[in-house]
Amino acid sequence: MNRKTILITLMLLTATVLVVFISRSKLLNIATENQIQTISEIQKELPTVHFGVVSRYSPRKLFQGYQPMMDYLSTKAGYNFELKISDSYDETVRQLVDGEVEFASLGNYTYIISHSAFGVKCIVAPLNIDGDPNFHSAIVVRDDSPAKSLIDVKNKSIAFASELSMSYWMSLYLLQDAGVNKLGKTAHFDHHEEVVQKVLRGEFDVGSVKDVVAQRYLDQGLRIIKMSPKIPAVPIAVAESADTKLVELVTSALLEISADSTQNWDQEFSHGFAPVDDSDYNSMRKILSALGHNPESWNEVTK
Amino acid sequence: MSRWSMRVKLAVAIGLFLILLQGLTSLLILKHEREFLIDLHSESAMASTRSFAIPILDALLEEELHAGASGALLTEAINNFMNSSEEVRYVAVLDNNNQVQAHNDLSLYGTCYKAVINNGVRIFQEDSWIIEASVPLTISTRSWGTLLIGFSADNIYNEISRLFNYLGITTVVLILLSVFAVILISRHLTKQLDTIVTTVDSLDLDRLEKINFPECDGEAKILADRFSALQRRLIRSLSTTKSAEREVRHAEKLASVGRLAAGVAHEINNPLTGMQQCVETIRANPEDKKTARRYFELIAEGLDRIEVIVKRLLEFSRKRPKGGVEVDFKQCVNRVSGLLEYRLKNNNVVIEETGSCSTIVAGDGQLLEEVCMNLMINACDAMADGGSLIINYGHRDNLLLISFSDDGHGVAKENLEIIFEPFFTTKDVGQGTGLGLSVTQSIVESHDGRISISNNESGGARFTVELPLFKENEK
Repeated sequence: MNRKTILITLMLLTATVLVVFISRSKLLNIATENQIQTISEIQKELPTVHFGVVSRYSPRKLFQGYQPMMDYLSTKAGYNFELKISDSYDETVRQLVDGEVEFASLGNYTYIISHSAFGVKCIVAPLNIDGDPNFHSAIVVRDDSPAKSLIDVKNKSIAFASELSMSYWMSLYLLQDAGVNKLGKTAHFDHHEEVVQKVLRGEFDVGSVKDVVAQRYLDQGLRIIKMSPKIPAVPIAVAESADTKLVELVTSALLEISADSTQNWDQEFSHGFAPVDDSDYNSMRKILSALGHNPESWNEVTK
Repeated sequence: MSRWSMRVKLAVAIGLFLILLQGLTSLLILKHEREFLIDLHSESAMASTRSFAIPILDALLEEELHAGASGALLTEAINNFMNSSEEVRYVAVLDNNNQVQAHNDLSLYGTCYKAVINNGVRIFQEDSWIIEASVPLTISTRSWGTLLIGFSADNIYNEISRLFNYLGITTVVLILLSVFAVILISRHLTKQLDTIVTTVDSLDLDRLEKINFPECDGEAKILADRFSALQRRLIRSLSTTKSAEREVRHAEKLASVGRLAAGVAHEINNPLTGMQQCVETIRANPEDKKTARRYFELIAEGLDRIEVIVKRLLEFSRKRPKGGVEVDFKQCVNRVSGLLEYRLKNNNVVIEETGSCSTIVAGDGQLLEEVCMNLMINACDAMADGGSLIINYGHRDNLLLISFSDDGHGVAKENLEIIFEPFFTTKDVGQGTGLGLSVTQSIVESHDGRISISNNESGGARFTVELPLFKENEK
């Protein structure tokens, strides 16, 4: 081998060793991986409007169902709508009355009471799938329950929604009307979903929930044994001193909603809204009166 | 050397090729493996972070429900998560402005991150590799910020490092084995070539004996057959050449004899003329005893003279033992100068011999005399108008150097290179065969010597003959 060949060979070997070291260092160096992306969150400078909602579902579910509506209103009304949840019905009423929230989705029982106590006003109520601003209360049992009608509920344990829920009072009315005057164990739960879970797990024989919630579980072993007469839908309410212009803006935006623009919205609010008047809740007032429940003040309700 | 070089070159070439190939393959494997490991661990980190985002969001919601809560839920959730795995290096919950809401390191509360990845992973190096997974804390479009979890990625580093070493060792072992295999295979392949080369080397062109090539196969057999055929043609050609050479030498000898003839005839003619006159004188007066006696003595002298000349001729043509015998080159010169005496005298050429060293060489006396004859005749011819031929003897190493320098016209520069070629002559047609110097060179080289020509600075040509000195142990 001549000198040139030896030189070339040595150079190639040196190059190989260099490549090996560079490759090793490249492979084991991670510093240049993945460029950091900055979050370009544009903080909106729009004024914030708070929207309360009673604790009819878990906080997560409330955000999942109601945040899209906040986004819609933010786009439509030119304000930054922010959902404000609470852990009880009366907390939401307090927030509305204290001005912590400008709008609130109340239960209709909560509305009736807060209207008489604080002059809270209803503006719109959601439509059901048939375009009707009403809902029903459903008496439900497990699929394998022997109960076929309300009369079979006698002496059975029963789970109710909140005492501040119209669904509870309507169920009481139905049971009383059916002649069921003796019940087994009874309990109240914060959310309608919880009531369904208790029944499906067999912890309670019977449950009383809103029809939309009951229908969601029909294919999971739940059976409806009685559907109540129409109950006016849960209203979106404002405080007595609410900004009229803002109220009009929101009312108008909600009335414009079409069913095809409400994907991912809470099912109860996904079919649009209709304007409501306080007189639409008189029928409920009669039922409460028939049950002998006539609270004179808010404190009396929440005590 | 060259055969070994070929083997080494082959091994080096294949070694380098393998280094390149294996190196490239290893790099690709490493790169793929690295990406695979990073993807795998990144996915795992993202999955863990997404899972942990659920209790974190619940804790955030709980804290939102109870405004002014101390963040104990978040802290508890983070501590539990930190304790669940040794790979978790840190957990941070950032708000929408990247400010730390909760962190396993309490001192970082309230500090602000400059930038975070939005829903993804990044890998960076501190004291070790870290995979940082980031998941936005959102429900629907509502955002509470970002959850950042840093996982130790030392296992990726170690795995890549281990794979690198493994592939490196494999590459080296593979290359060494391959080079070793190449050397073995090439040695096997060139073994037959070596045998052929050794056989070819043993071919003695002087003896013209046919040699047999060993049994080979494949390309080696083809090569052996070709060499065998070449050997046959070579022997045939050499045989023809030797025969032609003999004929040329014979012709040249005849030419030398022809050239001698004139001088010899004249040499003999002089005493013959004297003897004839003596005989005529005696015949004219046979009674004059005194004169007849004196003339008889003159006739006897003439006969002696003729006898000497004939003896010299006989000496020149006498067959003497050939090759390897002790020959005094000086005697060869003297014998030839005796033969050329008339020609030298006629051309008025004087021979001067210088140098007193030993002039004993090993060789064929008759052939060496032929060398002297040719060189001296050439010198005579070159000095038609007279001059001196200086024959100098000297030694260099184990060689006897004899130079023949004349005062002639020298040799043209362009003819110096071709003067020893057969049939080259500057003489007129019929004056020379053009083979004298060619034959001279052939004889000198057959004695393992060499002959060269140059021009003297003062003019004239100088032939230098180098012959190995006779050694005592050659006897």
